[in-house]
Amino acid sequence: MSVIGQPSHDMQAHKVTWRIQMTKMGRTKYMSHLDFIGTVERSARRAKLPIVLSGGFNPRFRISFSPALPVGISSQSEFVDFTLREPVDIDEASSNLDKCFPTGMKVIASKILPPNRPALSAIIQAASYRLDFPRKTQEERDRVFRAIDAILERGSILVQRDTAKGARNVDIRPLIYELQRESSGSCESVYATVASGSGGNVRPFDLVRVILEFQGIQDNEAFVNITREGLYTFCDEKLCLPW
Amino acid sequence: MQIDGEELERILRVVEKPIRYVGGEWNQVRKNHEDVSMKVLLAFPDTYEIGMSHLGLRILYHILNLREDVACERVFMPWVDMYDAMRRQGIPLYALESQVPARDFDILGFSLQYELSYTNVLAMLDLAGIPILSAERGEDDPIVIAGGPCTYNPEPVAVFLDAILIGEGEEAIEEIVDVVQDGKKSRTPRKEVLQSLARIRGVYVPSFYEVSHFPDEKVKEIVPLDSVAAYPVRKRVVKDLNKVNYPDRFIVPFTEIVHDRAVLEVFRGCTRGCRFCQAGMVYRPVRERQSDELVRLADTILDSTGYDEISLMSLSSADYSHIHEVSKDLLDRYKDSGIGVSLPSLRVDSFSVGLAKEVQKARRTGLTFAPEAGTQRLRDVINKGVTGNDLIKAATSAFSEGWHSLKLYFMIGLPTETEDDLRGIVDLAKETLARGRSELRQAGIRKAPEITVSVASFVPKAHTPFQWQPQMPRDDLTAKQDYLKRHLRGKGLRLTWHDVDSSFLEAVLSRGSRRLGRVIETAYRLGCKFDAWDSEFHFDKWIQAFELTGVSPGFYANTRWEYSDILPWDHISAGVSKDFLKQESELALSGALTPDCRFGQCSDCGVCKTLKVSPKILSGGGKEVPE
Repeated sequence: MSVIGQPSHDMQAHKVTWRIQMTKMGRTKYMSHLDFIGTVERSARRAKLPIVLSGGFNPRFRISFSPALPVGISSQSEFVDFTLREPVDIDEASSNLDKCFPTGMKVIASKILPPNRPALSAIIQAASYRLDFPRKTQEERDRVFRAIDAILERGSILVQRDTAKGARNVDIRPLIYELQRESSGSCESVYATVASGSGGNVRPFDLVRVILEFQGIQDNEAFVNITREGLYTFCDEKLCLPW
Repeated sequence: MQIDGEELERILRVVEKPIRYVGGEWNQVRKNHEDVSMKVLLAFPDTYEIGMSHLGLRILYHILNLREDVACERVFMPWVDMYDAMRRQGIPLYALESQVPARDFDILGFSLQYELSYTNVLAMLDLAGIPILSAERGEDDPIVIAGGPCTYNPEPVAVFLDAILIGEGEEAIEEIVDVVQDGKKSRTPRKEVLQSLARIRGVYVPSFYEVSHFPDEKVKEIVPLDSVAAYPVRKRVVKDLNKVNYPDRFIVPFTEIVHDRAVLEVFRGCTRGCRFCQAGMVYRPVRERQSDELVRLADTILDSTGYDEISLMSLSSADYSHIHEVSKDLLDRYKDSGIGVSLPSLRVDSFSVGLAKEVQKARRTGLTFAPEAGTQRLRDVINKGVTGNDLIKAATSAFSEGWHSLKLYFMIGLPTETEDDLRGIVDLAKETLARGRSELRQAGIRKAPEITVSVASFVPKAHTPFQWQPQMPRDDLTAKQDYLKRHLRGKGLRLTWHDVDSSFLEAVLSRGSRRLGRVIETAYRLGCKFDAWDSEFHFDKWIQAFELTGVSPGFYANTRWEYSDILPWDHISAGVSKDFLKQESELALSGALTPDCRFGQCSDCGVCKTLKVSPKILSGGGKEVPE
């Protein structure tokens, strides 16, 4: 029988937050954030995790998520918080959840948080992405490298954003913290660490467009694979994972 | 074998909701094609979200994948952007599980749920690289079959399909697979395989029948051409639902679908006998599932899916003999786990409202009633055993239980309808609203009541007592809609209606003969697909298709047919006799009611005798039927 959860009222006292870092790879990268939330909820229900239910007419699991990942971007580093009725053995809980996750989703690390830690949405301030630019020639390779150098030399890079009040230009250069390049196989990879969250945000697709434009490529259908590699918060001016 | 993954990725990143095209959902069954001798692809000619909400597809998927020698996979109609992108990039229609092209399967089985999906069948075949016409397929093409309610008049799509299963698929699908499997092993020519298929009870092979017409479009003759061709082809029916497999490992989609919950079919069939209703005629007799089996299935399904809602589904769930016990049992079991129970298709009565109140304690959605017609006279004509008083009582108890928004379903253009009947719709809606105001005020609820009136246009359907009746001309239907728009306005009243042109096309196709095949093909060539979607429906192209083919749509939609006419579907039998339908048609005109055989006496519809079945109603229900 699949009885999961108990009424939340008598359990408030002992609840704990279990934070996991997980992947969203393979075909699951095509899920929207809403799809992802639903899939995590159902997986958790199958895994019979002792998650606290919200009250009200429509009881829901108390689960919260790191900032939304755009459709089509893979991730090695999504964070999810589960509010549990009781402490769990995290290795066992991770393994149960893994068995109930669809292929592509997997727990990488997890931790029971000390009480009263701020929510994920409040602490995530930066993200790192790996951008894989396919290349066939030496010239293509040099072009990517030159574009990275040019971007790093610039004092400002304006990107157009459509808002409710109309289009507006945003300078993303100060929000780019790091750009590194690496060659591997048939790709030129760029590792980018950028601002992410309510304090300032660089969209990975914008970044790709900018790098392509600096190479003189206008084709926005170019085949670039994007992977979110990390989500960070600032601790003492340094980036660290939100543990 | 598989399609080019990189090409696919390239288009997935530019289309809407790409997750619909990649498979890999929880409980999906993926078999190695090397390990099986038969590959079956179930095809649903509408979007993923609609197709995955369909129970029949899930039942067949489950049953076929239980067999070790069969790999059964799924494919849906790609939405317009994906369809165009696949065309552009040369990616053929492919199965979600294996990403293998549809044309590499042994059997391609379409689910035909509504007539306006027919052009999508052609679009999918075309995208698969399979000839659209059955006659043009070769030895290497899959056997293209179909099933579903539309096949009770299969004629409009007859030329596109190699074989059609009439009726329920649980048992017949395995026989079909066996025949195609034998044929494949012994390299039997396609035509002989079709002959073997025609020998299976319930299987109709259109190419073994010749249909001729009079100059006025009426059918002149339907002649079987082959000794294996049965006349009539009688529908398949499962005698006892408890003895067939029911999916206990539902696929859990990654994305929200139309019916996004676990589904439990509590019974099949409905004998209320509404005279316009095809489902009520063709799914007879009523067969209930054992209640302990339902509870066991619910446990297993919720466990294997992680769904937080289970729906007790049927054509009229409040009629299930033990509905009260079963829903209460499930609610008690899951009350602490945040799992809800839902009951679609409730009757217009206080018992149903009571049930709804219990199951919706947690999640309160709207309530819907279907009085279908505005006056008692017309409700008697259609044999809707509901009175205006029933509706007012049901609505009153709904309001007093705290619902403030009700939806009322009506049909316009029913046979014998007059302006009085339309006025009746307005009066009923207004009376319900007034009742809502006073009930809510009494209960101290500050919310204002809301009544949504939803009107559909009557469409005559094959194998119903109204199969001989015309649909009202489009102008008349539009005038009726305008009348309702004028009179159903004001605070708390809302009206929704269906597009008249698409109801007209539905009527043409639902009573269409084999001549409609050319029309559908022409409409498809002119660019029609997703006709059931308002945004994609191009009536002008259909009109052009009728003109180009010289077929008169008005004959099929708008003329009254004689009892003596040969109907386009006369060679197909749903078990309900034509005499019964004629008798019901006459009783309708005199406004006489025919009681539900579940509660009263046998109405002699013929289904039990013809198909050697009997109603399976649990003890404590309307009546007991021994084994």
